[in-house]
Amino acid sequence: MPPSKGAPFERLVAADKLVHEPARFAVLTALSACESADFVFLQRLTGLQPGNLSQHLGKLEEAGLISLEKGFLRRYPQTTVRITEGGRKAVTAHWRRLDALKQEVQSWPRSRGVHLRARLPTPDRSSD
Amino acid sequence: MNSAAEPIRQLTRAYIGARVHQGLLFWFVLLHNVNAMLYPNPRLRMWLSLGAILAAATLGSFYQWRFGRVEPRKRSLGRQAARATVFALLLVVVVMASVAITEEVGGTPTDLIWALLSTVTAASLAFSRGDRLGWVVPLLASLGLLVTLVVPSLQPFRQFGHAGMAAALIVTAVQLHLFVVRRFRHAAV
Repeated sequence: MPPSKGAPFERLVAADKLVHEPARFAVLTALSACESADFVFLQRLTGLQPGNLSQHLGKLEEAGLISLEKGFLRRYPQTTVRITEGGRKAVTAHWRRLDALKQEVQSWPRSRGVHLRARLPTPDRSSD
Repeated sequence: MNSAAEPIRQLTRAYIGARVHQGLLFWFVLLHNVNAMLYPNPRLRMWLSLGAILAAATLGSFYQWRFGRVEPRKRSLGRQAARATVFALLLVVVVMASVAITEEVGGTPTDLIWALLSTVTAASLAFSRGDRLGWVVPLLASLGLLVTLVVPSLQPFRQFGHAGMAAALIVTAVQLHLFVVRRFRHAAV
């Protein structure tokens, strides 16, 4: 969906889920600030378990957003991760979209928020 | 870019700064200032130099083991050439200015160049942390050092100037180290 069309919530739901997932988003954002990073750095940054991080990296590599390079450093296996040009564009575009959404929501008049809250079911206080 | 992206990018930059600047350059400028503080003692200087190399290697290995490896972004060949040219020109200007200043007011050009290198190292450590006022402490320390290097009546107190600069270097390095360690400790998605 083009970013300029639809209500903000609809656009948020239609966001690129591959990039929007928090762990993958953090990985792509960190990689966009450097040339390459190894598996340990990304694990410390995200706090994920190795298996979980591997799965996320596999998905990003499959989509062509990052490239993985497996090798050995002093007999220890080492995985180096690089962001591709497509990955860099995707993460920058996604941050821009989120920024635009945030600004749009912040510019709403307060009455709209009140209106939305009024639609929510009121908690049952009869038992108090 | 979005403000929410900044903490991740800032931590990445700080970690790169910690790995690059807490390398040999930081230890060499610290060593120069510590040596200048002490009375001439070749044996003590030798041990301090060995200690600095050992500390740089130990800290580098610790960072790599604990937090992994990150390579800073590579610039394009054109930008690299432009930066190298600017750096070379700046170096020539600094050397010429140092010689001119020391001829005018006293002191030695190498002392001024070391003072400048110490200031730049301390400031870059502070900037890696994303601290916009990070230049204040290094600038104050370098002004203190410059005054004791250049003003003839204050030259007997140059040890204090070097001590101030060494303290500024240590403080900024420790601040960067703590920043990186704390950010990694609380990093989770």
